[in-house]
Amino acid sequence: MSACTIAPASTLVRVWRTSVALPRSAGASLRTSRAAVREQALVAGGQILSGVGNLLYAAVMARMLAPTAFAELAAFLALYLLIAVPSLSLAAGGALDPAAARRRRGRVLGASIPVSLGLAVLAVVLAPSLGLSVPSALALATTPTLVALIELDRGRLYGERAYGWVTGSLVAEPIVRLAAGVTLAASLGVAGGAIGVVAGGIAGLAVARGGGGKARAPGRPGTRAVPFADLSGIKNSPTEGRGPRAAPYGPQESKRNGGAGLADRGGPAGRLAALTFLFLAVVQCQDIVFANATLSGVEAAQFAAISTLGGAAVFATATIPFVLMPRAKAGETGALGVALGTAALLGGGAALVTAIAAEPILTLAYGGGRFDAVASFLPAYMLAMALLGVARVLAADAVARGAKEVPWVALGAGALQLALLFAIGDSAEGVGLSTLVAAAALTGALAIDHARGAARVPPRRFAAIRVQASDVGSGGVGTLPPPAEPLGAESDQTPINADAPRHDAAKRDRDRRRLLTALILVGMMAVAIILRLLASRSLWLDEATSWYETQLPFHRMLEVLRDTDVHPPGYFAVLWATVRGFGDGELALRLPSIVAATALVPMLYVAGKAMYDRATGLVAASFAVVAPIVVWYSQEARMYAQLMLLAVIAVWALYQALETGRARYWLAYGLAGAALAWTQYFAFLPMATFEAAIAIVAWQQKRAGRPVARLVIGGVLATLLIAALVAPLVPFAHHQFAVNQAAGKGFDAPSQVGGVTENQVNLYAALTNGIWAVFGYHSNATMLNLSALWPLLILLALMLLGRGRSRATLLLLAGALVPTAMLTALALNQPFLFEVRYNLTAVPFLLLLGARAVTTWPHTGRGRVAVATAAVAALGVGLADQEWNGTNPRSYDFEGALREVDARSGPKDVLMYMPHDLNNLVAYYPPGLKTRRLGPRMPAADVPRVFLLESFFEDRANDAATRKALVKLRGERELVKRMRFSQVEVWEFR
Amino acid sequence: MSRDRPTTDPRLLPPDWSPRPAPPRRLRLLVLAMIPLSLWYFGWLLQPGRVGVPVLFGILVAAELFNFAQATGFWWTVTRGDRRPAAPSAGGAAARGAGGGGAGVAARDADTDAPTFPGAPPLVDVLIPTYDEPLAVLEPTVRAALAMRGARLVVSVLDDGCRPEVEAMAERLGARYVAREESAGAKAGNINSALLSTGSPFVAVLDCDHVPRPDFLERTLEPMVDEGVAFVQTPQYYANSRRGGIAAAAWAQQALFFGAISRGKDADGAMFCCGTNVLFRRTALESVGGFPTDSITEDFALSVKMHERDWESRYLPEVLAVGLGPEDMASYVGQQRRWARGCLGAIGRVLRARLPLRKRVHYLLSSAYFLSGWALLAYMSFPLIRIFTGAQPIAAASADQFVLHFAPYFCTALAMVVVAGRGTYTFAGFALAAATFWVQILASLAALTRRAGRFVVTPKQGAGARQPFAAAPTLLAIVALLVGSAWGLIHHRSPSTLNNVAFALLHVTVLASGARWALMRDGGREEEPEADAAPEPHPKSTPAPVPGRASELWWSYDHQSSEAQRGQRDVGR
Repeated sequence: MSACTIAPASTLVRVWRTSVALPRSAGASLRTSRAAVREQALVAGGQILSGVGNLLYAAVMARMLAPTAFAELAAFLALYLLIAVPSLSLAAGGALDPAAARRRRGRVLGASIPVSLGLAVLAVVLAPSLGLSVPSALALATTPTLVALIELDRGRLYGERAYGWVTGSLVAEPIVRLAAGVTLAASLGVAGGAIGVVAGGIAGLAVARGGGGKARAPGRPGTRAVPFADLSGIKNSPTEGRGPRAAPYGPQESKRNGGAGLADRGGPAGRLAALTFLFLAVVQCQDIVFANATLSGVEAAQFAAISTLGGAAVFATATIPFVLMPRAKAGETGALGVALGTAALLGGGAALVTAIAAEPILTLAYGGGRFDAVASFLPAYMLAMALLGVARVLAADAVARGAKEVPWVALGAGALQLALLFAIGDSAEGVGLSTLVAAAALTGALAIDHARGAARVPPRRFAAIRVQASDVGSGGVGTLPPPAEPLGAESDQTPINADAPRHDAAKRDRDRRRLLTALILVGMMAVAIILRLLASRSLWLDEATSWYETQLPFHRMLEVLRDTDVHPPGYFAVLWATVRGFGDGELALRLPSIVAATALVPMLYVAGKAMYDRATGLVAASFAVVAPIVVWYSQEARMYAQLMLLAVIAVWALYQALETGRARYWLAYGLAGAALAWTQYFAFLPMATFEAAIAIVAWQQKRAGRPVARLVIGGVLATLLIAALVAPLVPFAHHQFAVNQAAGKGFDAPSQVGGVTENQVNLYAALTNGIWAVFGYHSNATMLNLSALWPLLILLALMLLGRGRSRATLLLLAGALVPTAMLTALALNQPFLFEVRYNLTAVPFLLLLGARAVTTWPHTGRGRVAVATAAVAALGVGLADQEWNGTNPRSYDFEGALREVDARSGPKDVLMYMPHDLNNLVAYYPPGLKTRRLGPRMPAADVPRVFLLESFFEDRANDAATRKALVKLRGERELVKRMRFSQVEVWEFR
Repeated sequence: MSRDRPTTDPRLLPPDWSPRPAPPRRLRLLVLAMIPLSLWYFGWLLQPGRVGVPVLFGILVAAELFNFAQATGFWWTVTRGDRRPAAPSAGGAAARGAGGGGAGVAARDADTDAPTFPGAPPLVDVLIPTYDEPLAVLEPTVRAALAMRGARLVVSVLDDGCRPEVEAMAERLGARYVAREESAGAKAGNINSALLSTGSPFVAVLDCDHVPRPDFLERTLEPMVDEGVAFVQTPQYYANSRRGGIAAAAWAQQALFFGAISRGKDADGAMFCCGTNVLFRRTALESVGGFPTDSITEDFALSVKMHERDWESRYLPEVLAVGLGPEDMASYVGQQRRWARGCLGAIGRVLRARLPLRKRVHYLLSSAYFLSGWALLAYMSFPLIRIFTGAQPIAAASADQFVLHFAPYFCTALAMVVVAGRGTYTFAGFALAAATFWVQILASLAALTRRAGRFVVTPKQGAGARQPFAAAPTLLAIVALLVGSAWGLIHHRSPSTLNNVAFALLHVTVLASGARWALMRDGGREEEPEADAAPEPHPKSTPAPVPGRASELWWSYDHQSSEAQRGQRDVGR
């Protein structure tokens, strides 16, 4: 039977097999998966019970102790975890080599007892800097020995597959912890709680110590060292086909490690595992230590609260890697999927639950209202922990298969997190965000590493692996042997045809790549949606205008647009339909933008892949996930997100049309170009650039003597299509322009300046616009600092030396720079046009160019991954600062201000506002009182309370009018309160 | 060596570079733009109100003016590249020195219309000096030299290492083996010694790693029809540049020189000899007493002497021989040290020489280039001084003012490099040059104190080890810049400090990019390309066909069968 004839029966199985290159039957794979599921379910169940017990313990302690005392206990727990989690490396080592775990007990004791003694001696000195009392520090000193022994024994149990004992040990720990901790904390306070934690650990150790035990240390009479394969059940169930797989880190790596894989070499595997889990532990725990050391008491307690919940989530997934490891070491494939699924289910479920009910959970855990301030951020932190859980599984799988770079990936994530903590960790949210970004980067890097490992599998290995599978099937060993006779052998289960066509393997490789790419893109889009939903803010003036206009009947909306607005009606038509379908809530109003900005992620992949390659597409897509300005305009009920999406579609279609000449691309270009024009008038600038590009390419082709007729015909027809579709817009636009110019409106409306440039055309303003386009909107102080980094542009210019140029690059550069230049020229006459949002079509082009730079400038794969990760992290930092720092001058908290006014006002009170364009906002967020524009006449004396709301402070006329009114009101009334919100101020008089 | 076995010697692959001329109109437009932009910048910089700390300002202005002078020289040079007539005028120059080197009145080839020597092909001595290079490097060169067409050859392997295996190889291949009892005068002495034992009217010099093309002599003899031509220089192409790493970066520098710069020098008759891939007229060599042995850049000094005696030089912009560039940091540093020491030491000689102004300027520009390290040192120091002391060279200027005046000048100057070099000058090349700033500083100090330099053979193969000591000063500079940056960030987190930190990080990145190869075991080299596989044409790297030679394959002769051809080598084809 040839390799082709053993093709799986169903598409599902085929996809699965091609994705993991399994050389065995679907039935065997499913049986393996079922076994893995059972194991994971049992241990994860125990772990969840343990986690629930620990959560219960934390919740009880949070209620029993004062916030500062609880913060101390949380710090103790974090340090306990910090010590315990790296000890998981011992569990990892044991899972890989249970016999060695037995042998090394003495060595572990010898190493950990001095550490414990040293910690005990240093407790007095270290305690204050760790935020602990001396008794707590002393209790902590026992931890290194205790957790090392626990994890060593649990690791042995994992390796021996004594999962019942593992579960028992896991469950015993919190039961004793809760019982002893509560009792002791009642009398001894924090120290009692800490002692309870230690007591729980001792209970867990006792159970683990007694478990398993069939194997004994070598050398003792009547004992034997049990090799993993014997314990794994592989030998006993050959029909399950637990043969080696086409592991991502396959034969090459096994060969490097001595030809027999890591199974026979506990040392390197142990070191890799130790380093990996040490660095993962740092990522998991350093945020709480940082928060406790740097934040105020209240903020530290807030972070401790979400950290404890997050810790519980990641705790639930802690055992998954170790249950996976024995099977991963044996080269079984289904186990990884099961482990990933379990981790994703547990972690993602926790994130989802907290997203749905953050406040109730916090209330349930810590009592009502104490930590509500961080409720909105809890889901994000839980997401971070879920990602960490997935990352631990990926890392464990990679380590078991011998990938040597994994510890350094984890170390890089830890370093990134630390840098972020110093950069933005000045609040509980900032600390949590640092962890989220680091966890996402870590997971992404490990996933890419895994994919790269899979991609490294050479086509001929498929046949080679079948030989090994047949060996196993006929009673061979379960570990991965070196491929001694890779090709041509026959097998009773999966016969080999040595002449199996290479294209078959290549096709599988392609299928696997496609599947991986699809999974990655889906993951990116999921993260993109979460980020776009997480980062939410109040509507601002222009969005309220959008809302107002879409409340009107369609024909009336068009009239209003034509008579008062400055934008074409394309976007508003979409929004009008959306509002009809989903209502006019904030989310509904922003739905088109969220959808467009999320669709930008796969579209950038498509464009990047077409114009360059797959890697560029993926990096560009990852940029779009976190690019601050993309996220910003995905949360704005305006046309800019669509503008970016359509611009990418247009440039992609044009490029494809120029390269292939196919009519469908010309059609796509024409439609996208017309849609751009209907979305925003400034889209004419990139469209004019693209039209010029068509002419230049035609001229170049003609000069080079190549046929040009097809290109010219396609270009002309596409241009005519655009002209035809845009023609109806012309009278509309002309009327708009005339009316607005005559009325002095529209262009004179308050501009969302929000920065230090005030729309002046100068170099500094240009630099600021450039920073906004890449790193998003920030406070003036941050912008000044970022602008000061302009010498790095010299570096960029130097790094461009010797770079090749392609049609794609030139097209993107032209699409980004030419409209910018044209807009700048226009802005010399009309400075308000010198504004980044009018040139947002350049942003996705810059993202594509940046992705290209990232994928081509480093010379090694690791370099590319590192630079891409760093770039995404930098964008993530920009995003975090933009969205959550609170000093972003473009963030207007009208909702907060108006809701506060609503809460404080009575039915007879009056709200006056300035500027007058806020009328739609005031109407959208109804304060439940009379509102009116600020004018010369103040409310009558019988009005009990008068509220004055001001925004757009940089408008001097507005500000002067407000000051004048304030003087008047102060003369007539008493100032009760002055309330400051982001870019909004409210004065309350009575 | 088996005939069928594929070779991994990159020199046996076709070069992926051709010194095509840069578009002259674009170059001139850029130069025209540079004039007002330079005035715009220096007019702003040199205003009295700009002076911050006078000493620092003076250093800044000196560095900027030095760079401007170099840049101006570069622009002037590269825009002269299209002035050289396409072919030399046969017999147009009066005989210099001792006569025409045995060649008679020129005739013209019936097919190509190129000037040729009438009668029998001329006699040429091919000298291949060697010292300690491995046979694997040397043998292909000797084989290829023996296979050259268009002349009657005497190939001599000048072995200063007196190695029996080289003698055996020369004997086996049919080349002369020449060894000296003493190796005085290094390479120059070696060649001079060989000149005494040979007598052909033309002398080709090939470094032992430079594998010549079969038509090397056919092409280089063409200009020699003009009896006033002393030597014909061809480019030095680094075949190992395709492996990346330090060789590629070094090649990026070479490509600019052997492209636009050499063309420009040739247009003014100021092309100097570069030591290899060159054909000399013996009478010209003898007229100046052979290669000078008192300089470690003997080729440069020889050229000055020849030009002083009104000999002409020619540059033939065709890759006619393929060699190896330095493959590790120590080799590169050694090469740069020798060039810097030799060229800077020759400044006085150039100033005293009886040379026409243009030639003198060309020589001075080439020599003074090696002072660039001082300018870089100044630029690196400014941010540190500002961070630690608050002192800065410029006062009363905001960043946007500076950028407004500096950016157009800087960007256009970069564009000039890009256009003139046809994109071959890379960031890696720039970074490598910057990372050896200290070599230039030490060399200039040595030249100032008249400390004698030592001729060091550039190794032709990488050491295969990390060489941090070869970049120690650069690494120290990086550490200093990083420490300064960290100190600045800790103490003053103001925009102005950040600005200086950004400058420091700019230098750190450039220096680290250039010095990183010292920390790599293999000098950043990639795997050997497969020579048996047909090289895939790359849209950006495929050389444009040289007119008239487009269909000629690089390896049109069988280098493995030179044994069989040996009997015909004197006949030419």
